[in-house]
Amino acid sequence: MCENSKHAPRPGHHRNAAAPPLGLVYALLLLPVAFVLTFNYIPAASAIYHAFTAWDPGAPSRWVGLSNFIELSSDPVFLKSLLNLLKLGTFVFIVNLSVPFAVAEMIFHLKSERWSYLCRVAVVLPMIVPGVVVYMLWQYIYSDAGIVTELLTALGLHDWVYGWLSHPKTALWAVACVGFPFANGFNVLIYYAGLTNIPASVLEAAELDGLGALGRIYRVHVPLILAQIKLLVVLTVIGVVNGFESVYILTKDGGPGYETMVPGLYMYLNGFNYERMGYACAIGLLMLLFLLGFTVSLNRFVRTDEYQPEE
Amino acid sequence: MQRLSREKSARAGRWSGLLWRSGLFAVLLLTFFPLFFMVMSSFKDTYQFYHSFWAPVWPVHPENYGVAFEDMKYYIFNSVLVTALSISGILVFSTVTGFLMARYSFPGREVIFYGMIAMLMIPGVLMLVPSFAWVQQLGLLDTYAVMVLPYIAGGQVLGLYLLRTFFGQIDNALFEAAQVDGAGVFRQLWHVGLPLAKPVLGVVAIVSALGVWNNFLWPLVTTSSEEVMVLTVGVLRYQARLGGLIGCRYGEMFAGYVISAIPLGILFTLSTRMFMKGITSGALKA
Repeated sequence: MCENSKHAPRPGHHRNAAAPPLGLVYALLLLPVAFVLTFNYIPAASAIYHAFTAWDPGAPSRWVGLSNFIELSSDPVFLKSLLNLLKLGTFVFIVNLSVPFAVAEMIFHLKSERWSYLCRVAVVLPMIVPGVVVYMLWQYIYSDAGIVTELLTALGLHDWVYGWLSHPKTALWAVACVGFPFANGFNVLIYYAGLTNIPASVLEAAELDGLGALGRIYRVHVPLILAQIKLLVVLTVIGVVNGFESVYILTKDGGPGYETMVPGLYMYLNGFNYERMGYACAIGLLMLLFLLGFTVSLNRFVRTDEYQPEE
Repeated sequence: MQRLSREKSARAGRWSGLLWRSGLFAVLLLTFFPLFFMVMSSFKDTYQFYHSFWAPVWPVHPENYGVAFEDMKYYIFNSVLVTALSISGILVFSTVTGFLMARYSFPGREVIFYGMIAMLMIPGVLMLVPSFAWVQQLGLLDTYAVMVLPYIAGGQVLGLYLLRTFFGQIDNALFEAAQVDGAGVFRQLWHVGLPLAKPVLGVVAIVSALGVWNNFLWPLVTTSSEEVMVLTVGVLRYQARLGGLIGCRYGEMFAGYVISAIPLGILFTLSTRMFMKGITSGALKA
């Protein structure tokens, strides 16, 4: 049997009847491949190599072995950034997976297809605003003349009015709350696609068994959209680990102090402000290894069917 | 007993239905409030902004948009140009490679395919520093090319995946018929493949457009002159020129923010269904 499948023609193999000359095929592939090599493979190789070097802008790099990594292991700012990432990541992870799920369930429960579609359009609509502008808007919301301040003043909570983004106690949580109420349109659509893929017969059976709404969600919906949940877990973790645009816009340098410093921003600052490009590459490599390890182990331990994009 | 619980659950159903809908309404309200506030405030002058903070107020000041547009029009032009060039490149590259790899087998096909697909695994942001050093070495800083070329390189990969899958599913008889009629590779692609692939191409275009349009960090580090600056970086400068957040001319600031959302808003209005489909197809990027 094994042998059989080995010799089975691959899809596309039999289509060779009147193939164009090989030279033409390779010529057509030349430019796309050259692009990937030039702008993806060379920087990737450079990133790995330079993680083991001392590399200042304008000077040739010098091989230093593992010393970047040794320094990182006791760099207080880097360790602080990891702690911040853990706090921020846990919060973002929870809200970005749960709120969109709740919203997708609510939309799924709407009887009218028309309203359901309108609601999906509505949750996606905010995506037309560029991310940078969303962060700038939230920077304003937290500012002295911002919505939070005005709201608290209007409610008579004068004691609560202070610089949410500039106070060491609140800065990280202010960053975490950007995007409230976290009804991320992309996540909602993914969950919703999963819910609509559940066969109607399964849903009816659950209803006939007398499961209440919560029971149906917990025992029927969640197990049947595990593939979507896993996908969003991976995407959220990648997004959180890589993402530092929000911090860059909101606090510029991870301040006050290093209260909002995250590894991505620290990498950026080392590369472009502190002139320590080798050190920055080492941080990037650690982040990449973490993400690869996470994705691979999640794929190994949580087996689900392949996610199929659906309208 | 059975009947009783049925009735009970029907009543509970009505209540929970109401609960679902009001929850949904509340979430949507909270989601849209900052955006509503942004649009509302963009029509106020500074005095109105401070003195009637929560409510829309008469007279409106559309001239805020004139000021904002005057200041931001080159950023918009650059963003549109960079996005259009990148999408064109992505579509051409991924169509040709996807078609060839789906229809013909040749030595090295799978190596090249997986070699390109592997790049979906590595987030570009982690290579920000070495990528910057490399394009600097290539002398590309502060050009359109420094954005367009890497965007094409990275964006074609998802397109290749989607289009190879798509072309692989098309019934071979269609192409064979064209071949019998004497059509070569290019005419088969142009007259048979492309018309069928339109929906997939639309999805690739929209996913790419979102990625390119919203990219901030790459243009931030690779461009500094106003001539090539794109909207995401430009809007930050625009805000700084208005005096930052303190003592800012808020009406004009918000007008600028609204303007930055209009181009994607137009795309969204013109192709809502494809836009929604495109967003989830981008999930393959994991």
